[in-house]
Amino acid sequence: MKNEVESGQNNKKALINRARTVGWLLFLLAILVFVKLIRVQYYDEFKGKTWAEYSAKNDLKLDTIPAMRGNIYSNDKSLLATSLPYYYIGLDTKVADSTYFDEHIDELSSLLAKSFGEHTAAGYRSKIMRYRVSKTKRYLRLKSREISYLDREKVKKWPFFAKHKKGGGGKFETIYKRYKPYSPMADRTIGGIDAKSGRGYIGLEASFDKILEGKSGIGWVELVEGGMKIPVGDALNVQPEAGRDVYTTLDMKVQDMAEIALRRKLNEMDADFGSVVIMEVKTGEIRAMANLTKRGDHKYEEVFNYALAGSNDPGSTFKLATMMAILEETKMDPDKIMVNTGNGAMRFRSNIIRDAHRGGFGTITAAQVLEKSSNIGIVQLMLRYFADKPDQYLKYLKQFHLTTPTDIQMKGEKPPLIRDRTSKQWSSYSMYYMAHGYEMQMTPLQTLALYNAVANDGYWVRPMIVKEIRNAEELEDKMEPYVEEKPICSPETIRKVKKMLEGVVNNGLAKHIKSDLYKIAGKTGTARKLINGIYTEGKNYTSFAGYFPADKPKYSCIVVIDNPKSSGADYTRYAGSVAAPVFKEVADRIYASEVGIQKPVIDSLPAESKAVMWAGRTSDLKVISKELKLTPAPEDAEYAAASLYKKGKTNWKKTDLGSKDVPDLQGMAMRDALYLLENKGFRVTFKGSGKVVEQSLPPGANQSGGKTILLTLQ
Amino acid sequence: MPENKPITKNVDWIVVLIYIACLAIGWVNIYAAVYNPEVQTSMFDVSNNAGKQLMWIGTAALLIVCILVIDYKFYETFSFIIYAVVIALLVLVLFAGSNINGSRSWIKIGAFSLQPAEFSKLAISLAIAKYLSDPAISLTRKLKDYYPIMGIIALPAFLILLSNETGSMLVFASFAVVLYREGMPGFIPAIGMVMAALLIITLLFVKWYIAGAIIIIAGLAIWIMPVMTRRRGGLWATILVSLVMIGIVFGVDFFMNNVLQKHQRGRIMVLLDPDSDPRGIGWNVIQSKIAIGSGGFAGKGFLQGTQTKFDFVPEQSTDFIFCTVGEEHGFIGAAVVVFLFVCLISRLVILAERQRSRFARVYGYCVAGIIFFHFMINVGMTIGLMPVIGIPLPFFSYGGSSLWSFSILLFIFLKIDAQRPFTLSRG
Repeated sequence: MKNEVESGQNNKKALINRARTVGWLLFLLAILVFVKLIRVQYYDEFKGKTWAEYSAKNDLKLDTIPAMRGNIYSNDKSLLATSLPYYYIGLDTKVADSTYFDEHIDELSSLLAKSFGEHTAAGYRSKIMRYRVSKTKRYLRLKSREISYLDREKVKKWPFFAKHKKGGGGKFETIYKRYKPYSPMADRTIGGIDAKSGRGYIGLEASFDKILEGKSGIGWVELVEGGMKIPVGDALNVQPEAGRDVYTTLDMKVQDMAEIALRRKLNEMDADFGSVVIMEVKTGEIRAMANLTKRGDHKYEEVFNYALAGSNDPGSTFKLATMMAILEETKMDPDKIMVNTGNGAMRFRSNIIRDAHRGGFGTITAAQVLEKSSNIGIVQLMLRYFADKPDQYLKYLKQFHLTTPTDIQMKGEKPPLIRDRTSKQWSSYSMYYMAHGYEMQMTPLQTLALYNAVANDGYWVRPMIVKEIRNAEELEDKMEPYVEEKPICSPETIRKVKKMLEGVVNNGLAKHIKSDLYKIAGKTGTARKLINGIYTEGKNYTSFAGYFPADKPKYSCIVVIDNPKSSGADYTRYAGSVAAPVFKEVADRIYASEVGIQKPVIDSLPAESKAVMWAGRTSDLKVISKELKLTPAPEDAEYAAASLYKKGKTNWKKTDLGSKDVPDLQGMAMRDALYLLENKGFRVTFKGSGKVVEQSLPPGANQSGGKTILLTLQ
Repeated sequence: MPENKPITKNVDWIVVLIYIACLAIGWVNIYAAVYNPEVQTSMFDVSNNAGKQLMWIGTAALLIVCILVIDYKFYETFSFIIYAVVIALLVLVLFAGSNINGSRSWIKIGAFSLQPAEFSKLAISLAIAKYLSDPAISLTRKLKDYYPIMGIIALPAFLILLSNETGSMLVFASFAVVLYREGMPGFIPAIGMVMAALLIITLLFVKWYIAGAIIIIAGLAIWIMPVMTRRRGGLWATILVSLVMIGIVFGVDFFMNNVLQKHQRGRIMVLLDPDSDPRGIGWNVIQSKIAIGSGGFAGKGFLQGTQTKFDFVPEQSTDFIFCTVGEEHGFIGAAVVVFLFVCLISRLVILAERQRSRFARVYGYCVAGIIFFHFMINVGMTIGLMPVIGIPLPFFSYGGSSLWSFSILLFIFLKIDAQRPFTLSRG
């Protein structure tokens, strides 16, 4: 044919012949399709069998293929919960051809025996052989428990598992296990998933289950011995869609601080349970939520989220709300209004209301009522201002956002229980008991929200614990902080109660937690526990709620410790001794670790300072001043020293005087001082280390060489 | 003026009728494939694939009207520009494409996604036809005339490979038919076939045995040939050919074990022995064969196919649509579909042969070749004749991109063909 084509003459004819060739080829292939079709339809083994029959015989099942569950991250993007793959390994004993099988079965058996040790090599071998010849069985699970990813990488190199063109029949079934790298920290807050259903059932896992779980796929699986499911085919009918990742506001450093402090105190007091919540004032972002419950002697674990769902009579922390209501109603000056609290016991109709302080506080100002937490004082004030208008008082509580849940993004928040006059349990006493935190139920988080609103100048912020939902890296949803537009009370009231809350720590019940570095504002609360309907003496629910630093609040925090026990005096079981120190420890640690909330050092500097910050060669100092964005070091001297001014200004002093003068070595490092002095011909002796603080020859003294100079470094 | 005759007079109605029949049967079967007895939706409901396909059919009809209205010279004049536009889309999709099932080859416009790779066949066909329409080009004599053709095919092939859509790329093999018809020496496709045969043999036997067999055959040839043909000098050529063949055998072995991905290797292995991995890669083929086999002679009846209810075959409304036909309409239904394709392709070859311009003939062969290749691979894979390569069955499979591209491909040819009486022969 080639010759024909090249002959040129017959070119066209030859090409038309080719059309025939092509035509025949197409026809032949079409016939092939037809024949194969007939064969499939009439001669193949499948003829007439229904799918359902086939699948029943082969233990096939259309099953959901679980999607990869999303991760939970902390505020600094470290992993709080993730799903790790594990694998069951099995062997389809019928796949390998006999050459391959005979060649490698011994190797596989001994590897199995060596690595898993569930049987001897001979045991594995005979088991595999039994399955291979069996008429009914074909699939053998090689290890009863799942193996890790790293082990799988090893097994993948084994015979029957390694890639081979004939295929060995080794199979892996993937399952996912939830893993919490920080566990047991914040265990209850992060939550957990039910091993069977794979659904979150507590904590964030439950609250964000829909987002985390993703969408299951659908595919055929073969059910084999041991409940293992092997995916069938290399395509799924519906691809699973991985879950979204949840980015929380939790900060594991802060969480750790909170848990350490809380656990120590719980242990010390042998308390029943405790809870700490730390929240950022402006945004409501929760940085830590720790809940520890006693589970045996000196053993505390995260088992119940008290912060979210543990309601109790809040006790004296609620006096803040009452005081705010009184101030809103009367606009009085709490430093001028006097209250007589008497001798610490007040007959109130048929009951007696007592103050914790024996002998009573006598006549005190309204501000001191809160600072000293006088029950009598607050009841007196209520009698004075709200006696005939309970509805007005209740209206204020509603205005302070205390009657509704915070609606944090977590499931399971217990709504506050604040009765109104329609309630059956309402009595003429109710309002007065409510005034100091009884006959009601509040969760620590709800109480914290009130203190946070005060810290935030009256603007109530909804606590939030999740701020972003991401799909892989892609941002899908961003939760903005929710700040109420209207403040819960007037700025005047805020100013007054802020002062009182600071007073509690400065000269009130919690003065022992006062800090020199920064100011804490807060309120103690010691509620007697309601046991069988009686408020029982000796069983206390202690709490401390507040915020810090008080002049520029950054965090609000509540500490709750239930039923502390001690052999000491009564006060050792009160909030001031139990919850307040935990607050202080957590606040101290956060303050120390967070540069941002510390008062700028520059503020404390005098307008002009002689103290030398750095001294040395100008070439070095230029680099430093440029890096720190200070006034540039002088160009025209070889050596200089800097002292700081207010507002970051730097005062530069040239220290290298005349060539023979003793230089000013203040603040210089040893290296610079030594170089400078020896060049001028001094002999140097020194003591200490660090920077020069003293020199035995005064600067500027014109000393010729050969003298010895003693430097003191610190 | 004869040109003013309405297009309806000259258009080839046989092809149009087959086209309509294919669309109608395809649409009904897509409905059967997605039909769920528990959640019944109408054929016209756009929430299911059948309803969506109807929408695609409607839009395709609009496209066809446009194609028939546009002057036929447009396609020849603008063929390289169309080619350039499609290449640009293929590049675009690499950067801006959405990832669906692991291949980044879709452009999303609102709720619709288009796959530019589907349109590369059209672009290559036009470009090859335009290039070969130059009478100075000869495929019989000048090797350098092949280079542009190789370039025309290789560029989109490379881009498609980058977007991980190998199925579409394999279709380009169908251009060999066109080139052969236009004078490509017969030994080139012959080498291709020998390669394919060696590939399969290598998979079945140990490579050393094959090498030995080739050496024995070569030895026999050297010994017998001079006696048979009275020609000498074939010695070195024979040795060279055998060495090349042995090289291929080892190359295939290397290729299979080291180059191909696991699932690709599996698909070829399954072709040779579906039972080698019945729960793995062999699954689709076995299930598909069961579906077709269980249909029997007359089928189970419309919407009675159990595979729909149990969703046994993946991709049933797209790549495995032929199963639905085979199961519900049995041998008769499957035979009708095969018959429709045979008629369509033969008619296209006949139409191509009667063209007066080389451009039209080459283009016609391209269309016939592409449709044939798709038909062969797609139907072949559902009955276990071909490896599982995910390419659609023209006019039947669900999918807007493929329906559009095949409709455009076909109707451009019909438009050109309709103008045939008024075209001068150019060779």
